[in-house]
Amino acid sequence: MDVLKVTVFISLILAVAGLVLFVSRVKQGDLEHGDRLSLLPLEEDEHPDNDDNCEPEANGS
Amino acid sequence: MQDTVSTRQVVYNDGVVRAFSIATMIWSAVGMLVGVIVATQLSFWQANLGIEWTSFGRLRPLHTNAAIFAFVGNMMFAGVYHSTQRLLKTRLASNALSWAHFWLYQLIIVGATVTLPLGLSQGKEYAELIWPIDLLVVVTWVVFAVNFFWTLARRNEKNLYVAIWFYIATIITIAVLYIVNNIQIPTSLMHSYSIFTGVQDALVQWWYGHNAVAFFLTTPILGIMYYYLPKAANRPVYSYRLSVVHFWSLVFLYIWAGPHHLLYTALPDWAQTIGMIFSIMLWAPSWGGMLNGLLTLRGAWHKFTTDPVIKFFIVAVTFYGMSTFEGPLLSIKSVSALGHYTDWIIGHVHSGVLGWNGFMAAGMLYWMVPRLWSTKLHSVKLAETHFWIGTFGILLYVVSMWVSGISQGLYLRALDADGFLLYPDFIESLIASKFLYQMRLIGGLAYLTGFLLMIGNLWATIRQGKAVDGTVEVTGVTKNSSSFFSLMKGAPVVYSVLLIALSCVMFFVGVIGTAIVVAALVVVTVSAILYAKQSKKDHAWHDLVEGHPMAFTVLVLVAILIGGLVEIIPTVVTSQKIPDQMAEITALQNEDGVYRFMQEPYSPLEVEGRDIYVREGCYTCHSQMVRPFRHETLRYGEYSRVEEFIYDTPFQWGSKRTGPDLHRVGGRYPNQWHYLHMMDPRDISSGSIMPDYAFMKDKSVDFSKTAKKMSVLRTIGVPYTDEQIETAAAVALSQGELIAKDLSGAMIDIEPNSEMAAMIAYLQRLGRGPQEVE
Repeated sequence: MDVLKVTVFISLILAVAGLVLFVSRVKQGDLEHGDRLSLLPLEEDEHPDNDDNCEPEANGS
Repeated sequence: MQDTVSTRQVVYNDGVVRAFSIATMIWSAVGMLVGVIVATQLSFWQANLGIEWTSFGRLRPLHTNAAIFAFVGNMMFAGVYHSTQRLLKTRLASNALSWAHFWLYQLIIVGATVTLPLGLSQGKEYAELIWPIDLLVVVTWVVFAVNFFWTLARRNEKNLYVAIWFYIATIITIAVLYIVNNIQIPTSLMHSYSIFTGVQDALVQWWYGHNAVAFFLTTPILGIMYYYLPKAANRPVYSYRLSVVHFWSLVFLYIWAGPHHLLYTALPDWAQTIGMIFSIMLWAPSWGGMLNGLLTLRGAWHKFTTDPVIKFFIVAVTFYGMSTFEGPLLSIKSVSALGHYTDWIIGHVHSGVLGWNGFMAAGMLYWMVPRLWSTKLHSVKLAETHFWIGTFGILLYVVSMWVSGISQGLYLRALDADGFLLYPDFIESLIASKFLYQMRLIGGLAYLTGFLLMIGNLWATIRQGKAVDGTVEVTGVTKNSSSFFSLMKGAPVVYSVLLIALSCVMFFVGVIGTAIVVAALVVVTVSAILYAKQSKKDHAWHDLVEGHPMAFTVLVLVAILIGGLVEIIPTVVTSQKIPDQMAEITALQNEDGVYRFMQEPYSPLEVEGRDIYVREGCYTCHSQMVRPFRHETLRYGEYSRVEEFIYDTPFQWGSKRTGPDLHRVGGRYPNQWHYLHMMDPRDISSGSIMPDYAFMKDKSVDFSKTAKKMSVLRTIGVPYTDEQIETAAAVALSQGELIAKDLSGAMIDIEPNSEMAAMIAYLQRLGRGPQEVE
């Protein structure tokens, strides 16, 4: 069996299927949960620290 | 059923995060310092100090283990524990398990730091730790897993963010890899033999070795990227949907790629080809992840000039993209033919570990440490300095190794007009690399200097701050999630399993079977597309899976097992023993006796010599695998065949040739040559950077343990007889006496039970059948 031909064929099937499924999902507009989850890392702790802790102390540098 | 609502304050367990952060700083310095020492040894052989504990072969495993497991491991645990609590809005499930995890892990590292220089090693790359430490690793990993999944169960956030998916994949896959690759039978408290031999051991080891890179150095760091990069940029991840594609394709594809470490070896060709193809396919998801990371900075690129955290992250993600382009490139067989065994591979792994992991660690620590101690970073200018010194260092390192590696490949394959080697002496390629080795040393020193600046800067930050645990007000809504079985029956699972299973089956059926499978593939694909277009109710399937950790974990396990099982099972269940008639043909075809009876087990003294070879880490510089190329067979002898390694445990094919291949060294030189070479390599080979092994002359082998070793080897499958085991000590001494007698003719005096005699016996056996050493 020519493994390269078979693999290229399977890859193309998988790639096309993936593309079609992806586009169909986008068209269906399942946007809400991903958008909300992607904001999760941006939430800050509630202890009193500052947003930009990379700023040095006045004489720190 | 009604939703339940509750409001309360959660205080995070940041104490263990602080501990892992400090451990990261300490072990980064240790790992990189040992790296600089071994780089010095490659530039100046005198730096081996003539002491067995400080020779390159023993320190190099210490360097790799310290850099990967001590430095990146502690960084990973700090990032995982810090981000997981915040993404799930809950405290780590157990303080006791969290601290047990921390201290057990440090104990493992200390154990490795002590045992590896002592030469206590399994002799498998990145899996050198001896069996008692392996057991401790497994216990520690279980503690980590229980603590992590228990925390998931107590979460106050319904869905698992993408970073958590990568952590789940890490925990599950590393457990599978580590346990399988370290199945071994002890011969003593400090020594064992792997149950795998020869090509089976090679495949299992590189399935583990490659995926240790994938699931220890990549997936957890990608999780960290998906949390800290948006955090530092103050932007949500560019595409959550792309992260779904990134995750599943990466996890599924990565596990198949291990055989690309064994291209053109005696590994069956089908496995090599699969490894190569899946490695090339990996390029797509890897770059999808890189682009997702870089594009997260849309609208925040101005921070690159002002924020050192962003600087480190951008360069780290860029290095991720570069090394995940280079990896597939090196996995193409014709490129591997040039690059394998050379410094190109060294440059590749360092662009990954230092460029990707190291800079991600720096960015994460610069972001996290001030917050964990509720203060500001002590000095931004120092962090900037670290960034530029580190970037200079890693670029100098990688570029010098690229040039060195490609030069070595070209040197060693160069043929003259008559088809003979243009540079027949291996040492010429090494001498040509010496300047580049010195450049590498400077690059490594610069990178280490940068990290030392970071440690000082962060230490000053810690001293000016006060440890504070983060808190969050939780208004938890705990919803009923879908059942495990309903998720497993979801259309995406069914179609994926069908497509993958049919694709795998295709490799193992004939022409008619292939045609049927192709037809079935087309039907499944078309029906999947039609279903996706028509179905509305199932649109949030992944949303549901994200809310069900057990379903998610099982799917990850299935995804990583498919590739491993398809590659490993056929190789492991196949008998390695060549048919008797083939042995006879081999014998007839090689009447000069050089390649006769390859499947004969090692003699007792050769077993001991092999253990010394493993102990000294000779595999870190010498391969035992002559590839089927003219320039290799001209230089080293007949190409290596699979049946020649059936009793080799651990296999010693190696992955780097700082010195020449040794598979056909048996019988090539007299005993006296080997003795003189090991006493002082430069006496024999001018320009050599090999450490001297004069101590072997004075150390003796305890033959009382040889019978036990042979008994364990018999359990693994080496056909020693009762008589051979019972007489092991006497036979070993007898063979040692023959070698000692031979050397005495050249006025060289060694004891027959010396390590030198055992080592010479093993080297003389390599690549040929058993014989008396003349």
